Amino acid sequence: MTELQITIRNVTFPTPVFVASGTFGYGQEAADFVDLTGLGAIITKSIGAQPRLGNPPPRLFETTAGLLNSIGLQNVGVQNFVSAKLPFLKTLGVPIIVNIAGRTCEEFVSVVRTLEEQAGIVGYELNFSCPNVKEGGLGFSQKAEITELATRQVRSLTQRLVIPKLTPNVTSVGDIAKAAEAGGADAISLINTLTGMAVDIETWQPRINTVVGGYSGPAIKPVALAKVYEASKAVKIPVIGIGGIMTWQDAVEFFLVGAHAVQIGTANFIDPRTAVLVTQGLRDYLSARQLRNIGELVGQIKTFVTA
Amino acid sequence: MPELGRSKKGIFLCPVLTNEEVARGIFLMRLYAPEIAATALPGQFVNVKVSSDQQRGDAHLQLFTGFPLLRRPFSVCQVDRRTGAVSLLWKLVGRGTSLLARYQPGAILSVIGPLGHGFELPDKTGPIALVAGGVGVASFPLLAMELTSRNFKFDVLLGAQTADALWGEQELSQLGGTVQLATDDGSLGEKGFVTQLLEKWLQEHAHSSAHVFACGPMPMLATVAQLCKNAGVKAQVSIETMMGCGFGICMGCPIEPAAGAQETGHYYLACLDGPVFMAEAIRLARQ
Repeated sequence: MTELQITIRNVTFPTPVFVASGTFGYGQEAADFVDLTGLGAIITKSIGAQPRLGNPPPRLFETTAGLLNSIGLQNVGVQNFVSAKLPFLKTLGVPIIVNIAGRTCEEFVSVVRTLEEQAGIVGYELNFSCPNVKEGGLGFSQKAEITELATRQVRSLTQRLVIPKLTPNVTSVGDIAKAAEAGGADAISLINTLTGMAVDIETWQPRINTVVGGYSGPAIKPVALAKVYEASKAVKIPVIGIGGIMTWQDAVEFFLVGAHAVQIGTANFIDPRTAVLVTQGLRDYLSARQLRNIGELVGQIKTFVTA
Repeated sequence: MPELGRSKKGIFLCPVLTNEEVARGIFLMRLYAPEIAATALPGQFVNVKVSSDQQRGDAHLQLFTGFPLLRRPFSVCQVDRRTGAVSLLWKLVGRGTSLLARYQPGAILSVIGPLGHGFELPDKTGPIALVAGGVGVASFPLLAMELTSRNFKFDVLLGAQTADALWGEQELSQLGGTVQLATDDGSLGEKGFVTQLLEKWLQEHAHSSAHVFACGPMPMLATVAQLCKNAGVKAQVSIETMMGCGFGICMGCPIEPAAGAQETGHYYLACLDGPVFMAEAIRLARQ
């Protein structure tokens, strides 16, 4: 057993550093730049029951330390995913988690049913939290009871990992995390993007077509850490931390606040090798501190003792 | 039309060789990038990480400690396959480029490339015009080099706001082009837009074997597309747009197909399907 291996229920991941949905295409696009076999897992671009056009431009705007997007879940649809994207992913020998974006519970169920007929998938990440689509998306994971219901419906269909992806745009992420756990989730991942916006003061128009979009990048890391900290205290299932990780040092912070694994998102746009570089940094950090495995970091934050 | 060979892309640490203002607000930066020099095709681009933290020296650290966050795309302007130099022509426009102006010889930049789908060369001789507005001329020296090496004759129509903001006349004529100029204020060449030069050119060369290559601001490209369509002449346009990654993973640079995105159910991506498109294949907004 290498020092970086982790297990979620019955699935072993070679490293705890995954690439986040929507920031790595369907894997193949980044293969020119990085040895994909060095990744802990690939989480695919969101898949829906039907192909989805996505939003009109402009879809991106860069802020001081972050990125606003409104891609709108552009995706090839589950049938094309199975015929055109999955065969390549299956050859890699890297755990593949398919991110599913449904407008309704029925859509999640229908996509999972189709994917259950395919080999080479270790789990499903349920995108309950996209801020850029009018129906479904964010609405799901802002309500505890719907989170629980949708998780339970998917759970009843599969032995594979079920991982709801949660939004930070709620009053209490702990309550939503508990609902996902109650619905039978094997793990939860968070955070998806924060809602954000920017305005062009020359034209008085919003910078992105949907006015409000999803905010990601290093700017959101402190928010992500706080949400992961809160969620990991609320549930017993593993938490996968996401949000603004650019370096291995960032990743260490996530493990210390309670993440069992992390996902690299926006950083992939700047350097698609980030997950591999973070993994190497973690390995060096563990060995320099004579820690035997990554689990020795998880949740080990030392809070100040108050009088 | 023959497709040029597929280039091998990668991420490279490239020392700056020179970085000089060659026209008002227009800079030419030469980088040592032998892998990119060896394989870049006309019309392709590179994605450069500019950093406010270049004094760190370690380009990997600069990636994430300095700002701005995202890379900046630039057309490959010239390559020297013998020395491994690649040059980029760029315009001072914002935060990223004002930092780029401070890069001195010896500084290191992280560069991804060569990226994108470039120009497709005509398969038979015919009249050819290269039409550029402002810094849009950036992708033409490499295209001109390729055309000349295949013994194609070509005209170059260059436009800029003023004489002092115009670059490329000498370079493109040395590469075999017959150059005509236009400036908005008439300080050099014809007074007016470069598209007026194209209008005249098309009157003389409206021929099914004629070919126009254009790069510049969106309204200029829209006019080029319309003029060429009216004249029955094929046009390829290289578009400039905001990009997230430059290699197809972020899906942040959609370009609407001519038949409409809703109608066809898809967008092109500027980074993968472009930045060069057949003008009739896409919807070019006038503003």
